Amino acid sequence: MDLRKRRLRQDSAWQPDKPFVIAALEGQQNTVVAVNAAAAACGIAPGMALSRARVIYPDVKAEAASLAEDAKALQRLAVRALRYSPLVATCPTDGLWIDATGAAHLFGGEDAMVKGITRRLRAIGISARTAMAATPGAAWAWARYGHGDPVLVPGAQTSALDDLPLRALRLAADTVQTLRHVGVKTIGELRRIPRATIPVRFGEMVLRRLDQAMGFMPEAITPLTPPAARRRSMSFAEPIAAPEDLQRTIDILTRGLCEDLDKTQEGAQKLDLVFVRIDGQMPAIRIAMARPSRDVSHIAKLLTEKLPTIDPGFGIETVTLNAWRVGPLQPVQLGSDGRDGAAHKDMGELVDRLANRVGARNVFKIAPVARDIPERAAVATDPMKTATIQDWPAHWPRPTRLLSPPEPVSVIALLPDYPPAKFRWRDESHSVRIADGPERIFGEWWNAAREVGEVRDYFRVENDRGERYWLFRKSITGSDDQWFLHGVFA
Amino acid sequence: MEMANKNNDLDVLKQRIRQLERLGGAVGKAEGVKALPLLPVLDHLWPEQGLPLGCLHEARGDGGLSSYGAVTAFTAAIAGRLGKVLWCGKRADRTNAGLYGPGLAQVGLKPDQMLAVTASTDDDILAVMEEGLRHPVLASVVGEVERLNLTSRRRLQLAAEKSGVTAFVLRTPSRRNGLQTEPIAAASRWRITPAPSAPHSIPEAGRARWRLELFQSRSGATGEWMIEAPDAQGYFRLSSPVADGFAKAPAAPRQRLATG
Repeated sequence: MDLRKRRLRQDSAWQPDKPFVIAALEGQQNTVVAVNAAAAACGIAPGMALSRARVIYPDVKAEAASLAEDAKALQRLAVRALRYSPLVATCPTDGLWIDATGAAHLFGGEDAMVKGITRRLRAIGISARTAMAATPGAAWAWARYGHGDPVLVPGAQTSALDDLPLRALRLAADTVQTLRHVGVKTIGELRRIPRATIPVRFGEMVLRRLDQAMGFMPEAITPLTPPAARRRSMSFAEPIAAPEDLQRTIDILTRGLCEDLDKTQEGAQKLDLVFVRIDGQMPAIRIAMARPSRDVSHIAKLLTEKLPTIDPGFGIETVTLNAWRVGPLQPVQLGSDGRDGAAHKDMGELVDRLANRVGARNVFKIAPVARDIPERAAVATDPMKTATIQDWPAHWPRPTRLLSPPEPVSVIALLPDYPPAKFRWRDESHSVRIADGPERIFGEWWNAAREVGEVRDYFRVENDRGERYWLFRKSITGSDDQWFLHGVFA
Repeated sequence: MEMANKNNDLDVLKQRIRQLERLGGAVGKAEGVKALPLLPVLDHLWPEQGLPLGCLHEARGDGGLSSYGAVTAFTAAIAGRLGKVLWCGKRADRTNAGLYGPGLAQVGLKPDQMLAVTASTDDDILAVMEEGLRHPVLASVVGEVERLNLTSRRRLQLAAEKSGVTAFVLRTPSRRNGLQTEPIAAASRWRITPAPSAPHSIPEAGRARWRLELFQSRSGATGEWMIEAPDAQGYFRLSSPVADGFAKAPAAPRQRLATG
């Protein structure tokens, strides 16, 4: 299956109807390793030199292959495939083996399972070829070179494989080449050569692959170790609906899950609580925490707060609590009062509770940034993160409240360079008693070209009532000065 | 011996009275009421010799944005001296003027001390405040709301009492926020208005001055003072009375128990 296409689809410039290839450096030349449908239609094929592909279609878009990323994506896909069978193995660099022994009937039989897998993969943007056979080798061969029915029944397997080219045996390219030289092009032709002579003439591997595909020799796949499920589930003989019952269920599940997490010294960071209703609906609560936690009361509280969003309908028969993101969490020393010392003092818990209430984006810390333009000197950051710089420079007075964006004011000044004598803001006129300034701040020309000629002169002004405002005159080379009110002072 | 016993009894009684007066997180706490000294002239208004902690305080300006900036600085200075603070404001404010970190740091509220939360309605802010008041990790909780009824005041006050975390409610500028006396559940209600700074020998702005008005308090004391804006550590200073001729002695505490 072509994993790369999926990665590309996420690219904003991705145009599915334009020829597109992935190229990798093989020896001294860039070789096409994967193509999309449009490129294939132009006649570009994997194995072709990239320069040749460009001759065929000059505007072909090419991207470098990334093996590490492909391997990671394949691994992720393998984890998803665990829904079909507990035994799933990756088959580098582009395939998956799913051991469907005893699993196919759960998905409506072998045909339905194969079709289902293909359909699901297509839904997430992967064009895949799927096949089912009695041995991993045969499945590998049939998925890549087979035709017709994707399911090979054991009786038909040998004859079906006989027609396939030798490449279908997972042999090295030069071995295939050698065999071609002696006129052996298909698996059937290979089987007609006297067995005893094959290892001597073409190497050990040929016979082994042949026997593995035919099922004469066992082949072990290395199944993925499924991630340990951090989940707890409860089913009820009679459906429940009362909030108190749900509340009690949450408590029990949370306690159980936290015990599990305690054993592995992990903490849950993201949790789903899924209620299976008797009508098949599955309302769920999702919570996220600022840092991993296995504090029973904390997690239970976060879940309980969202309980009112769940409609139990005619009753709930199963409740599952699933920690789908966990992180390492070392045991903490108890405080001298027997309480969990560190956790008690921790801000993390408070941050979680608040984020649960108003959304994680609305809980933040105002952190200093080394920027000159005042509105960029303070940013909202992750509340649990320590800032890179500790404080703002203190030598220039700064307002406690900043208008964003700055509001334009009309100003009367005695001379163009003077501080304002009068200004008008929000339909109110202020006469300036004292003005301090200017503090000159230049545009950040090293970041943005349009700020090259920009200069702001900040004035701290006090009006006749004692109100203090932060005004600035914005001058850009080649245009008139403008005045803005940017903040109010203590 | 007897004397010591008597003193002890007296302390217990005093403690009891404070609990009745709802001044501070004394309920079930051995260490008693804590207070933050602000200014000598103010501190003697409270039996604890300072602004009582673990209860609700309210501050507002005169309805203008500039005075709200002063209210912000006043609260930030006090909260900064107390320790960690949770500050909840409105996402899209009518005033369009958000908190500015550098300015807060200049009155003593450092960025690492403050956790900020934005919510969309007054009710959300009050709920967030209550949540924060339950966490003793914090020293204080500040919330900016336009309106506040007696029930929410009581709830905040109770939550503050229970944990000992101090609550501040800032009333955002609004035409409707008059200065009417309200049934009080807050320990104190303040009004801060900017005042012209003291004349200087050279034409430049010195330290800002405020007219600080305690217009309602549970102990019954009220008063009006001219103070200077807080310094970098969050300390206030009484403005020199000669400069403006405006320092009125605080009104004597009225001898009555406040309602509410």
